[in-house]
Amino acid sequence: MRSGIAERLAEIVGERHVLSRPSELLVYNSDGLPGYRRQPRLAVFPGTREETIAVVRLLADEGLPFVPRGAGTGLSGGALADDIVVIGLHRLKKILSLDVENRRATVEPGVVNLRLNKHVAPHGLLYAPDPSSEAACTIGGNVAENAGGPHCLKYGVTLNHVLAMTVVLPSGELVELGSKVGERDGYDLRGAFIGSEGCFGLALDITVKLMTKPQAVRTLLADFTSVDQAAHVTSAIIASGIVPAALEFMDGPTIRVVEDSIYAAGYPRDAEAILLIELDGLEAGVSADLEAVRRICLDGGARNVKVARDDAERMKLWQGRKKAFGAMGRLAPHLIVQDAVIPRTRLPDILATIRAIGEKYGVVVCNVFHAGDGNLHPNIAYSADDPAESERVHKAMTEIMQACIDAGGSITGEHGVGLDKMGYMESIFSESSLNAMCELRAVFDPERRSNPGKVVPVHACKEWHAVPGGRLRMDT
Amino acid sequence: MPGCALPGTPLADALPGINACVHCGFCLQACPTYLNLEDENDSPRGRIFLMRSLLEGTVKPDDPSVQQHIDQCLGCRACEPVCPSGVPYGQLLEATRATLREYAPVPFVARAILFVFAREWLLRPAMFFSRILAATPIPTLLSGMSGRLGFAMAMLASTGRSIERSRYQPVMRGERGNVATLRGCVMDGLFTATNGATRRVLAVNGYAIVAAPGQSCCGALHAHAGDLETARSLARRNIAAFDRSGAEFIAVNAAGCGAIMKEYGHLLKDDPEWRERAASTSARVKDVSELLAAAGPREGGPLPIRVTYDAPCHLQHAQRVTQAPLSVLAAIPGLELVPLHDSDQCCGSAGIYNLIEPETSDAVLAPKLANIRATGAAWVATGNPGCLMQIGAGLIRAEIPARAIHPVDLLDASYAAFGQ
Amino acid sequence: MARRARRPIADGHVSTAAVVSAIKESGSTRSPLRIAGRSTWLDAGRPVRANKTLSLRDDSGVVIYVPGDLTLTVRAGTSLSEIERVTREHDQWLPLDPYGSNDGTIGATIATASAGPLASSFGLPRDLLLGLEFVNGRGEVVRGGGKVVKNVAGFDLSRLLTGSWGTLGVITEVTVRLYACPQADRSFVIRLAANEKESNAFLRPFLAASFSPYALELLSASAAFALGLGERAVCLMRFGGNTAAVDAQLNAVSRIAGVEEVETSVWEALRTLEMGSGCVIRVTGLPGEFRSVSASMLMEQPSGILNYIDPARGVLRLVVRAPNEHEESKESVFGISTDMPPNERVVYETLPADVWSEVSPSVVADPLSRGIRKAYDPHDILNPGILGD
Ligand SMILES: Cc1cc2nc3c(=O)[nH]c(=O)nc-3n(C[C@H](O)[C@H](O)[C@H](O)COP(=O)(O)OP(=O)(O)OC[C@H]3O[C@@H](n4cnc5c(N)ncnc54)[C@H](O)[C@@H]3O)c2cc1C
Ligand code: SF4
Ligand code: SF4
Repeated sequence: MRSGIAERLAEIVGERHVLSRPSELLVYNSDGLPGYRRQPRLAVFPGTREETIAVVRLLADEGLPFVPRGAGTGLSGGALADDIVVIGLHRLKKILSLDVENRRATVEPGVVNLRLNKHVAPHGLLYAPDPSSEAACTIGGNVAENAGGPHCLKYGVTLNHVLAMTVVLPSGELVELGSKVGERDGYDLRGAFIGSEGCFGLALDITVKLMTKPQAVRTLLADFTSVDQAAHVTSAIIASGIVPAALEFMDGPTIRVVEDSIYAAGYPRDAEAILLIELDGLEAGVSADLEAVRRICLDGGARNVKVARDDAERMKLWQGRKKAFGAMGRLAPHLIVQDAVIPRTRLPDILATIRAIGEKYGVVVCNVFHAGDGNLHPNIAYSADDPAESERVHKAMTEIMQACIDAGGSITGEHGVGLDKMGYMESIFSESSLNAMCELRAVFDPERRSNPGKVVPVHACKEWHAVPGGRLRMDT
Repeated sequence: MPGCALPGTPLADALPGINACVHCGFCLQACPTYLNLEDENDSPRGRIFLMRSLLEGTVKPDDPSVQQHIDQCLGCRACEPVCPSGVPYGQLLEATRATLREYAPVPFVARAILFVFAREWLLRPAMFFSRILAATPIPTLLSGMSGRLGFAMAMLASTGRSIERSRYQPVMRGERGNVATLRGCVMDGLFTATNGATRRVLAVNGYAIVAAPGQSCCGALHAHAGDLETARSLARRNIAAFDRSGAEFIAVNAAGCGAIMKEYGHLLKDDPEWRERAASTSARVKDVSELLAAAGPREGGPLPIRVTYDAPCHLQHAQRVTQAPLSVLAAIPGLELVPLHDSDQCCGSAGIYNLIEPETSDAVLAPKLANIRATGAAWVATGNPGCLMQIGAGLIRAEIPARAIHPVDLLDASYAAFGQ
Repeated sequence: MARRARRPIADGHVSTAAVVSAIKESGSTRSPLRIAGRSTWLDAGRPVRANKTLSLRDDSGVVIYVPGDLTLTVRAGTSLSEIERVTREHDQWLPLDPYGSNDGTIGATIATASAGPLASSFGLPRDLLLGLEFVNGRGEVVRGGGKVVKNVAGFDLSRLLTGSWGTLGVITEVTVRLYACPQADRSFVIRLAANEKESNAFLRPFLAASFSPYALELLSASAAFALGLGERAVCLMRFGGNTAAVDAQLNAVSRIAGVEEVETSVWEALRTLEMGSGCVIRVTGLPGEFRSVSASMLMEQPSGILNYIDPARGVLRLVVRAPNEHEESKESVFGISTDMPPNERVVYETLPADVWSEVSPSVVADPLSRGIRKAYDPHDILNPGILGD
């Protein structure tokens, strides 16, 4: 008799790197948004490129569905699905090459974002996309979600920094997308793959662009006694045409949780909002912009505008911002986070609407977000064990999302659709647009085995009603 | 939580700490077992999830794989200072181990060690025997052997390799107050010289040393293994002894002991009779480097040596003491301090972990040794007996020409070179 | 309603509905369409097998423009010069300057992923595009992306359509990111030495230095001459930003070399130099490679050939001006192709019709590209042949 899948996977990666006991698979049932849980059947952790390809080929031969997983910090319920095989890529953590002269690096998908940055920093280089989760998330996960971060305001998101990648298609075939050495003609398949949330196959190695560290960097902390003032100042800075490297917003409740945490950054606890603004570039230019931004802040009602004195202080200001989500656990056991994007002139009125919705449902909505991009992260800490509270929280969030959609915005700016936002897809895309997405996916993954059930609701895919998706048949 | 599967257990009490975890993953890259074993079950986030699952009833406390992943935790607490949500991981781990003890016996080796450590009358002869052994060439000869015994011998061999120094008699002025020192079991047994050095350097820096008879093992090993009851009774003995001494400060030169003693307040929080005394004792506990740093410390005579510093987990993560040991080294003229890459990473010693989970421990130690080798330092300063032995043994076995030493021994040698 | 008020006049005569019906009709009769913007660049790309043309020329105008958002949504037939006019009124601009004339449409620019000298600092069309609407080969209206500056909702159809040369759908509406006009925007030339060794000795360190120009092109002597910049190869630079930053860079450059200020309109002249030429080829590569070979590439010039190098982006643009010099162009095409090993680095824009099949039969022959094409244009009616399909 043919041996079971688990055994055959173990032959490829070694017994230690295959999990099949339900109790050991539990921790792979959720990502950074643990409200969603989906219990996998198996988990396999290949340690090399060859092992990864062999694993995907075996699953292809068997017609088994799988979901790629990086560090599991995703905030949309992406790296999980019931009854599938989790392919954990965290062991593929080699930086394969660094070309200082041409400012590019090739990395395996499991390389942690911050590790890449630490690796290139001694050469005066940096990898620009800096999600707040940079200390944990992987470059593969960044590619799959098209991750952004505070500094994406000026420098662009993952999409703008990935030159090429090798992808294992769900069939086990290898393809090179993009070009490591130049610009390529033909369809931008690299562009199509970035942000495909694990549904198009697995990114195996990834070549990214690096930047030279800017000559001068200044970080400002402006604090306000009203959210509204900070929102207007944000719109005013953007409208002034100055492009800050980053422009981040934190409201009062968020400031106070951060100040209670180990990442206390010295934000004024009594402020109702702060803006963290970074300017970079040539020394001369930065000084001029700094004055202009300071003026806008003060004219807009800022109580105080403080400029970080040195790198240590800058880092501290940033750490507070980047660890803000994590610190929310101090308020209540569960957290719901949204990721809507709105036109930047609408910031003041949408923030007012959000507050009104919060009051209507009796919940506290915290706001910490990439203000310069109009990328909101309204979040509510609550206890899911209280059904009445849960219901109010979810109703409030739905209403907030609707307000953002009505403002001409998007349902997700960087966290991806995953499971979490699938329900909103039909409110921003027409049937034929969703169908076009299904068709694109079908070219990469005709059997729908790679991360099934994500991004586009299945019923939106015309052709798919008839085709059965891969099913897990286990002999274990 | 809708219905708790393990009501009335220490784990159930720890639920608020578990709930504080938002699953953000910031702790993953700080965790030596995750980095080495590469499975989230062996990460802080994963273990906390297992704890939650135990309470939810989705895994059973007698599930061997759950026990294994909890056992494999080093207890180094590197996950704590990176956690934005302030999850008290060390306490959660102790509560979990205490809860799981009922379902799975502690492994034999661990049980034997813990048994000995809780009993003064057994501990003294055991340590005496070890010390005698360490003074002979036997451990060095046997340290090349493979397996656990070889490593244990290398650990012993490493304790016999401190720095040469002449004797000096400090003048005791005592203007900074009375200090009682924790003798500690391993420190007292195997690092007697370090305990002497501790008293001398404190005296040089203006502390008056007072005796605190009646003290015992600090209880850290027991607490980490989940034997909270024994840990509590040891704690009570120590609190009583230090109270009697009337000391303003309790100086500890073993980071692991200092960490638990600073948490006596938490350990005895449910004991109405001892709660307050415990908290006030905890407040007086200081790592020896903290007391020295508060006094300067005074500069000594020149020691032209190349040293690197490795931060013990229980000093850095549990006690959050990072600068004080460096200022101790900075008081030694001529000493060249070479930074150690990833000095904040665990060395894999973790109490008795290296004896019960030898493979993981070795895997965690390997990068540490490589980093030490790269510094070219002749001495690795670190303020915890477990780390001193773990690193010391590793250095011997990897044939790296460097020795592990307590920073206080270096300062003592510097004062000796000065003739005080 | 607020949305209404922000949706002014799309003054075109052709609308998405008209595109839909044209495509549906072609689909039912299986008669392929040549998709055209304002037909300023129809000679680019491989010959198309179609006898009907669908022009978007008249489907132009602004759909949404709220200056404070720094985004702009326009109909695809809107010309770049119209966009420039509209945005300039609010002191903003779209820093997208593809080679060719400003009469070209934004739809075609996106469809062909065309870029120019500003790309090395502001990015390629894929980087400036936020979302689009297109009509696929079945006549269905599809939207990808959105109208806000950051968006990851759904699979990225905007990137897929960018550079698809009309073969996956007819782009009808486009949303792009805008920038505020810089306080200062000045251009300069440095004349290079006449011999390779000397100019190499200057260029290598100069290009590795940390200036951040808006654009920098090295022009062959022939190109410089055509622009009236003298008879030697030149380095043409554009600095923009606040006055302080521009002055500082100018000072730094002046310390290294003699610079001479020129009108910023020189860039438009450069972009239109190639119009009407029979052969335009792009060779792309690593910036470092260009830094080290630029001098030699600028010096050796067969007659009738212009070349410009953007060393930061890693692109050499080769223009063969005389349309009847087929033989020579063919030679240089093959010369370049064999010099630069993997041919994925050579991008052909315009070639004599008969040369195409020899040098670049198809760029969409791989199974994924074929699959996508088949899904989006099942009847093979959108620009068939233009990518070699
Ligand atoms: C505290 C916190 C802050 C955050 N801040 C930001 C932020 O500022 N900006 C931002 O954009 N995101 C942010 N995120 C979200 C998250 O970190 C990012 O989405 C990140 O890119 C996910 O990376 P990961 O390695 O954890 O991926 P996972 O969560 O493991 O996976 C995410 C998705 O990618 C797929 N995937 C993973 N690896 C691969 C691969 N190699 N090939 C193909 N598919 C793959 C998975 O199937 C899944 O669908 C934050 C998350 C947290 C917890
Ligand atoms: S860092 Fe803290 S909150 Fe985040 S996963 Fe780890 S323990 Fe949980
Ligand atoms: S205590 Fe150490 S080994 Fe245990 S989970 Fe925390 S970091 Fe990992």
